[in-house]
Amino acid sequence: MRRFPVAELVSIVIALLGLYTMVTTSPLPLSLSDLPVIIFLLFGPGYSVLRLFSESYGPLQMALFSVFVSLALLLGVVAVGHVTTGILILPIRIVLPVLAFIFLGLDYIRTRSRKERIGVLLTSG
Amino acid sequence: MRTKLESYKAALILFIFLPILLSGTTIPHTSAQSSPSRNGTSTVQVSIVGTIDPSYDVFDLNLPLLVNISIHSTSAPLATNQTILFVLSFVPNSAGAIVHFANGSSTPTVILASSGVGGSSKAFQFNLPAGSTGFDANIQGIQFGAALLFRDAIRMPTFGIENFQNATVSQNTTIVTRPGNLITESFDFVGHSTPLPSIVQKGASNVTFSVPSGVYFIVMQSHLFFPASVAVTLVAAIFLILLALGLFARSRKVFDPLWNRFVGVLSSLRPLASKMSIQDKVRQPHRASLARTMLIMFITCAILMIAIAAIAGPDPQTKVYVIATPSQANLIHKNLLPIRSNLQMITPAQDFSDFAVMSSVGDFNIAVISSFPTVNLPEVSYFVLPNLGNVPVIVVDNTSDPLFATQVSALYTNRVIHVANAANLSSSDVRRISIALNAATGQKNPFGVQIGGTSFKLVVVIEAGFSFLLVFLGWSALGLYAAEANNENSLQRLALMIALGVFVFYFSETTYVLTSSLLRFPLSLHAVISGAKSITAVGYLGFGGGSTPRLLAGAVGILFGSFIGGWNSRFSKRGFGIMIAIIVLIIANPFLLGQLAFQGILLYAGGMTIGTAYSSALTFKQFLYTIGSGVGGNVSPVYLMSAGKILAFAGLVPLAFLNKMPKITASFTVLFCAIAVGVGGIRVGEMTPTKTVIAVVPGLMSGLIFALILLLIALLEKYLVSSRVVSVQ
Repeated sequence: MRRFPVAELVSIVIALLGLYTMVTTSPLPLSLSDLPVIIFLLFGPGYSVLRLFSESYGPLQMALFSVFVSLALLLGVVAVGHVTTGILILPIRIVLPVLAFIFLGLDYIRTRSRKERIGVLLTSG
Repeated sequence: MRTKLESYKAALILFIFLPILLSGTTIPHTSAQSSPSRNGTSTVQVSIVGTIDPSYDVFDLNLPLLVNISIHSTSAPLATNQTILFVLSFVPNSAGAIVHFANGSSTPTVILASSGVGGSSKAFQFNLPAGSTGFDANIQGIQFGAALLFRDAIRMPTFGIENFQNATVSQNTTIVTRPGNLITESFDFVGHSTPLPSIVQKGASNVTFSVPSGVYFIVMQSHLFFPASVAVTLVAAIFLILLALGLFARSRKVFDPLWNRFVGVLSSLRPLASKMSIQDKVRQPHRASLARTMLIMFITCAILMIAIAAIAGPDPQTKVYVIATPSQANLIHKNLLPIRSNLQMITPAQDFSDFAVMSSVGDFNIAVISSFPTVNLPEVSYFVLPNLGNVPVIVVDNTSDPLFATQVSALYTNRVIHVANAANLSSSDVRRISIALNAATGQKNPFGVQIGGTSFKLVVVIEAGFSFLLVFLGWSALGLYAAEANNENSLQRLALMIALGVFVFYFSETTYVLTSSLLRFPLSLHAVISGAKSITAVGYLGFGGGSTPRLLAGAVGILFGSFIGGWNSRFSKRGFGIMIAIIVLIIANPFLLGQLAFQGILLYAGGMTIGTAYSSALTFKQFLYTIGSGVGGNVSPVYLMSAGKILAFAGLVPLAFLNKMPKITASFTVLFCAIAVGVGGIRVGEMTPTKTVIAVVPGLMSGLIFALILLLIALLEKYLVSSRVVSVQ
């Protein structure tokens, strides 16, 4: 029986939350809640980085370290902005979703190429 | 009507701005700098001559620069007596002045040390009597520079004059040295590059450089330095190329058995390993037990330090902190001798910025506040006043600054004893101080053990040695755990590194605080003024505050542990060879990169803040502080941030990802972490646990950012290795 693709589903949710976060910066008069933004900032960037490690983690371990890595990335972006300009200039709601998309994209490409390699091996075997 | 209103407005504007417009043209001509000569007030000509015999040692923080300052002043006859203050960057060996009068007569006068205030400047004063028309003064002394990596860095001697109204000061500075020495770099007060001093006189035995105004640091080197460094750079470059081509493969056959034998000897030190069951030995790699042994040795060392301090402490000497002029302080010391014969006096000249730490470990039994120059009082008061509550007895006399005395009396009412003059105590004063001192608790050994001053010094020296061993063992254990073979995932390793690293730092700091408190003598201090050797335990070993050896103990500990733990599996020998060659290339080359490396090492090892390295360090600090601010740093002065402590915790995190790194990146990561932990680990000796509390989380966050960057480099190495661009075997 095929395993339910939890990781892929979480990646999609993170990507959607990232999109939502970017949309909240839109100048259009939208009354959007910041709750999904908070959820994204807490888990999104960290989860996308941990996916790249290609290690198997338990759900609790994944959740806790996602928060840890997300906070580190958030602070890093703020600190780089401060050091280079003296003020907070890098828009967090744009930079962090973009970083998350890049990491998730890299993970997707790598996973797909690995699956293709396995497929070729199985076919040739 | 409208025209009339506008004309009123114009008149009003003219009325308001006319004085400003007029003053704009007159202010420069009536400034304090230009008027004295025209009004017949004072002019002061200062000639500073620094003579240096460069040493060009690998490392020496006591490079002497002989300073001779000649001051010539002329003025209109003074109407009243005037006390002039000279502020110098060094303590003079000799100082004297001759005062001239209008009738042509001259009188020699004495220049008195006004404060002997610690820090960078020292104040000296002398009196100009009414009717005098000028003076000639001469001050001689020694200022110390630093020799590092065959270059000498020298801080220019500075001279300032205060309390001399309307004086126009002109100053010229020259440096005299032997021929064959060059000044290759110069910097201003904040570390920016300035025009180089030029040669104004060249003789057979010496060369004189004229130092432009604004130059605060210079770097000297021999004329042989450039060709020699080019030669070393070339050798390193050739070595690097040969190494990259794999031409040293045969040398490993000789080197590897030697290393394995060394590791074998260390492994025989593992008492616990021999007691493990066969199943345990199979289950766990043998390195793990060595890491555990190292951790046990670390804890044992800590307990041993605390036990020795508990049994041998406290310091049999009574310590008195005296805020007074040097002459007054000596008299105060003599007056207190009838109370306690075994009395050690400490003054702000030795250290005032560490007063909080010194007093918090019970270093001082009495504080005496007497006459002290008002000009130097604020910087001393800033550090001392909030922490006087740690001193059981505070003596304040009538010659002290009234405002400061009032503040002290108001804050510490129950501890203050008022006397007329601390330098001339009455029998009643002596009795009151004696009673208060005897009433103070915790002055005696709880086990009834008493040792003399000489034995206590021996104990203190042993504790100082252990303090470095403690740092080394703690970080070695961490290095071993980081590099040992394991099958945990990165997050499990990260949790282990955080738990172990935070424990090692905290337990080291706890041991430092506890040992210092039991001895009533600080093991070390963070910013102790150079040359103050008898106020810390490590000072008795000749290390002042002990920062540089603590840095080395920490960095070598991480490297030692990591190499022992993972030399054969984790790291690339060729990678290390390449890195060492690159480090030599960076440090030895005489060009911009070499200069930057020199500045960077001087910043941490010599405490001199020059050039781009200094500004880069400030930017890096700003980066750490911003991260710290995001997670609770600097909310209040209690939880003040320390960039050093943040860096120490940041250095732990990349070690958790060694499993995911190919060999060259792993080797580089270990070097990076050793430097970060070493530099940050200095702060264990600062003994400020509140700063540690607020540094842990920002440190881990920063460390994670560094780890992600290093993992990106690891990806690059993996790609290059898989593309067969580089080989790491």
